Amino acid sequence: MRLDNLLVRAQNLSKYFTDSSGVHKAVDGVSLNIHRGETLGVVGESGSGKTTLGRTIMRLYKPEHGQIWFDGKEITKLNDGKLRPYRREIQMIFQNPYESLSPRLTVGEILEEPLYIQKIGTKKERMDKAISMLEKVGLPRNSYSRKIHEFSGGQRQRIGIARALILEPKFVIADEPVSALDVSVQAQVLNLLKDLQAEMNLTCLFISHDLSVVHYMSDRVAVMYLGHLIELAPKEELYRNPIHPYTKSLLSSIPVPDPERRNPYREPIILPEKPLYPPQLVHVGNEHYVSANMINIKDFEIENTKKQVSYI
Amino acid sequence: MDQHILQIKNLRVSFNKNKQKTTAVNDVSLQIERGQTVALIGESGSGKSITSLSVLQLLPSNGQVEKGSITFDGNELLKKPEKEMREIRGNEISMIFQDAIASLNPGMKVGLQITEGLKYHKLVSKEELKSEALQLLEQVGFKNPAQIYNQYPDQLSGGMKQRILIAMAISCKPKLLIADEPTTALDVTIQRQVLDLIEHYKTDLDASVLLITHDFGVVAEYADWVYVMLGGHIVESADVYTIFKNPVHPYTKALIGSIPNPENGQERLKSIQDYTFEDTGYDGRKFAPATYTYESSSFDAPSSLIEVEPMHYVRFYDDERKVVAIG
Repeated sequence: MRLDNLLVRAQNLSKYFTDSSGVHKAVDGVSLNIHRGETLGVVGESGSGKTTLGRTIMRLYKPEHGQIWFDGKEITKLNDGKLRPYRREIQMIFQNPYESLSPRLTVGEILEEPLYIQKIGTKKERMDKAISMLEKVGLPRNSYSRKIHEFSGGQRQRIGIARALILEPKFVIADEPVSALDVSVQAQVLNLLKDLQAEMNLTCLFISHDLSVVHYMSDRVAVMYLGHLIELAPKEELYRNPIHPYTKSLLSSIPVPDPERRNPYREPIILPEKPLYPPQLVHVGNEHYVSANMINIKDFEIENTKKQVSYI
Repeated sequence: MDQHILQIKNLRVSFNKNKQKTTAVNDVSLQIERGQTVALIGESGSGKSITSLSVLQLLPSNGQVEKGSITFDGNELLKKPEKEMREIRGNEISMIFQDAIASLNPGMKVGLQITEGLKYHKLVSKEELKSEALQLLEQVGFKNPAQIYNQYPDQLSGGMKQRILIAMAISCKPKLLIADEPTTALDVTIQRQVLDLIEHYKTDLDASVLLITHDFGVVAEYADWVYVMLGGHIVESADVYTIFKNPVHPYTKALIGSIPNPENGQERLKSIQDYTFEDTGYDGRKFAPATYTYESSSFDAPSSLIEVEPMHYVRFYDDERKVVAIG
């Protein structure tokens, strides 16, 4: 694997939160690589640390341990001023378009704000850019001077997407971008995201608790559980051959939209205890990595274990 | 004994707001056979929750039932006075609400909350209440009921709270359980546990379930019969196998086509824009509504459900000429 093919690299990343009840390890020892142009999906239940992982990679949080590289440069310890150029290249699409867009600004102002902060273009150029972005996400030009309350949930999320993409970032973190939307609208927004991603050659970290949605959007999928990364594989491989018991439970819990295949004898749900230390991920073939705590390495007939056990 | 536990006929519910009348539910007929799980599916604002609230007569004060009848176990509910309705709510029909956090009392131990219904309806002693509560907690899957009994809602996770709500809803062994989006805020693994729990209760006590949802995946796993709701109307209804095999109404097709399904490797999700409502008719009739956008669906002309094949109903306009006039 050539390193210049990597856009984002996180190594042994940890983010802890402290409250009265003690230290909560939201993200604990997570290592992953994101290649240029790929979409890496992150799934896990609420509280598994997937949102914290996204925010830490974006450096909205300062990690306790570990390193983050973006486009070949380490950004782990940069201060706010030094991070500013990276803010232009890493953008986020937030979960709830009802809360993440200001009700006081017009759509035009919302879209131009990032350009203004990054000191890009003249007033006229910024306006042209905002309008062309609106058209790109399928909203009418006259949305420019309207305010957020005049839009439905799906349209608001389109505005959220337009705001994230107006700086032409290299890397976008989409944190549950459709979970607040109705199913029929969800499909439109997912299709739009997919189109824009291809058009703008975006690299994407797609966070969702919905495995079907993650499968639809991603090339590879990472499974988070209690702050640990427990399994990572190309999506077809993961859905065909899940190894970690938690991944198996997750997959067997997806409702299958076909009543003919209703199965009353599904696998029981297994929620393993959190191991004390972050698991070592082991390569088991086909770019499939799984937590070493959970497998019997002999099962996979790995001859030279030293060579195969690798961080990712 | 009547074959149907619940029968709604031609229900119309409207709301008064600023001296303007809006019809939220119109011409809704729905029936649930004993032992069946019936799904009512549609997106937010389609009228599914209003329909279920009408059954319990828990509509907000500015809403009223204008027309129609609701019979439960052979008795007309709409004519019952409030006092008799109280005997039915929680006792014979009970409801699991969507928002578990908002439906529990934060200042009361969950063990006591679970048995409030029992205390009201069944007049049992304090000791019996406690043992009943512990039993219910065990029934909904808690391994340490004695400990949970003494906890407050904010000490529990979302899935646990939802299970407390289920324990509360089944405490009086109701004949009909209305579950209003019971799993929307939950993770898939917990969603499965919660729905399985409802399913077990239904089978064990031969009860019936009205499952309100917007997720066709959940419908495929748990429902026997499906009603699709749009703009306050039922636009299609059939048994669950038929509706997946042969959906007729473009809105139903869109809902089914928009579910991402890892198993069929779809390149692109269908969305509502991929279906035309206007041109595709059926047997010379026009689908109702003839147009659809997310914000509005127009039902300006009279429409009714037509049986397109045995036991499969789809809504069409009554008079084709009127549709042309709407354009």
